[in-house]
Amino acid sequence: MSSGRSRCRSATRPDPQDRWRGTAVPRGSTEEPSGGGRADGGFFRSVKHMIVAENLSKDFGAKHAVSDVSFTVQPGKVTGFLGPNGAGKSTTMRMIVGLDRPSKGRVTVNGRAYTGMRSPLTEVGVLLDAKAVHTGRSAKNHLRAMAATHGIPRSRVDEVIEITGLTSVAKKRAGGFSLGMGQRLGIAAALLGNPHTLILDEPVNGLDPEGVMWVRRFVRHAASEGRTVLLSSHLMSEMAVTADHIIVLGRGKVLADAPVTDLVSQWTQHSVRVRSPHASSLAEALAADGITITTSEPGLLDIVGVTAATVGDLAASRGFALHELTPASGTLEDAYLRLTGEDVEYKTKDIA
Amino acid sequence: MSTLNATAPAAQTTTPAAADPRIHLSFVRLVRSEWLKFTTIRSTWWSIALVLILSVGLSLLMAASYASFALDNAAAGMPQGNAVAVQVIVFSTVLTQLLAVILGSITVTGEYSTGMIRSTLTAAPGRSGAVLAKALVVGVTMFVTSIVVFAIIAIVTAPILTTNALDLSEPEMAIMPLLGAALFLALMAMMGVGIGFIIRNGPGALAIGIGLVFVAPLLVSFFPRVDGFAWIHDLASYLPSNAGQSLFLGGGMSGNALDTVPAIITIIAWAAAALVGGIAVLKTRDA
Repeated sequence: MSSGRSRCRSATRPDPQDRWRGTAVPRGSTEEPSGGGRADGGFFRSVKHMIVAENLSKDFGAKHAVSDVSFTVQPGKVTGFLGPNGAGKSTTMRMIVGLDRPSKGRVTVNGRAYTGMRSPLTEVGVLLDAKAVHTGRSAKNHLRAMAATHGIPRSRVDEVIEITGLTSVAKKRAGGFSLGMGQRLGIAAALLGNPHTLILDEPVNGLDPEGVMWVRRFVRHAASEGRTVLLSSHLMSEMAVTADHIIVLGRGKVLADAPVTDLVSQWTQHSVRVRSPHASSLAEALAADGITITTSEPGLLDIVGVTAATVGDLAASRGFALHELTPASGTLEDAYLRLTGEDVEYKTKDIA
Repeated sequence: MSTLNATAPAAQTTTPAAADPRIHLSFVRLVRSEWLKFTTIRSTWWSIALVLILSVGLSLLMAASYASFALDNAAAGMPQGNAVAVQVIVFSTVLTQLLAVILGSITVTGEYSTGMIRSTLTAAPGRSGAVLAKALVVGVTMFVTSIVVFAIIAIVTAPILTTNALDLSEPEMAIMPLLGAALFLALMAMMGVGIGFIIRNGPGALAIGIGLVFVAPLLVSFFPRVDGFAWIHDLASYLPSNAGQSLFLGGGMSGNALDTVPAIITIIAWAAAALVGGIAVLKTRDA
């Protein structure tokens, strides 16, 4: 287990607010408290701005793309949809916004089905894939046409163009856009209605590092304002730094639905790496039930089932010199691989 | 140039809960959106330019050939005056009816081939509104374009036709057939929209269009006009192009001539059937 990397990652995982140092701070006073505290009462209070899927299923012929999936996505958090290709992430997202009709079950946003909304673009902003644009139309005209459906003012079109950094290419035909540019245009379209809920399918796909950073900051900020953010990725590293809560999908089923930290602690092992000239003696001294010790090179032990303190104390009492004593927690990657181990649809052969 | 604005999220931060109540879907807004989409695609303008060039060119040819036989025609008791003028002006609809169907269907199939349809349907998840708005935009544009094209043709062919030029003092003979032809082309374009939503791909819609307006009336004319095949000719009267030509040319390529009202109803029925079919398919199939 790659201890060093994981430690580093959790240590540098910044507080959402911290990411915003140096940029404008969200205007506080007029904001609704995250989670929604308006006096709607009853049912609507309980589902305010949440995405709620109940027993959602989608079959394409004999293939079960999504099977009996239930989950809720809470406002004020970034929720990650994580799963290998073909796990049903996109299909689920398409069902949320009414592009695919569920075979069974239902899904609502803010208590309502998307298809019945009076003003869908101001409720839900959606980026499904970068290629949902007519290739012959300019970025600006695409956004203007989208905005026109809801009477969104042209000033907002210019605003989202600026926000997503498309100003210089706004008048160019979208067909000539790179994947990253197309992605920005998709994000711009999602922002048009300044929606409370954002659904982003693989938003960082094709973006340059700067774009990736921007999307990360953007979704963190949106969540800090109390928005509901659901984004999918098959990249665990991306999720680890972006999401608060993760729903792992595999073969159309929910494999896990938990905060990132819980997911890591439940599905990974804590281990201790020890480097010592007395490695073999130390291993003998430690040997007990529930403790596994592996050695990948002479003088190096990876120990599971015991804390670093115990190892250090034992070594001191026996007079063993230690050259390294590193506690390691597992990574999201480890958790993910364990969870999806048998649920990867398109398996690759190990290269010997 | 590819810098995503670092302060961006702050800029988009208006209170998320406070949505402007004036911002919502409406049919009028869907029409405006479809109009924007229609006019911001080059193929629209290519199609309209093609309609214009084909129509004017064919009518000029037709006018020239009439002019060269004018004296013989008069002697042989052939139609004169507005009957000639109208025939010259609407002659090109034989071809442009297909362009109208294609124009209608590519506004839809272009969205399917590029993925734009997903944006359209997430903005208008009720779906039928988007279909009707599109049909309205395409239909009205085709109608206005046709009237403009007919006016241009009337003007440019007048010197050639001399005494047979369009005479507006007889609106029943001069204006009504031209309005009928424009209505026919508009409804063919709307039928194209419906076909586009049913078929979803350009070549398929094109094939259906050609089959319906070119091949079907031609096939029927191969059947001898004997009692056993009478029903085929009766049915053929209700093919869109035959019904249309009954309206403004007095009869189609095949079938029997229909009166004005049944002809108009027939054309409307074709467009309506295609659109209803399109909505039904769109509502039931995943996008």
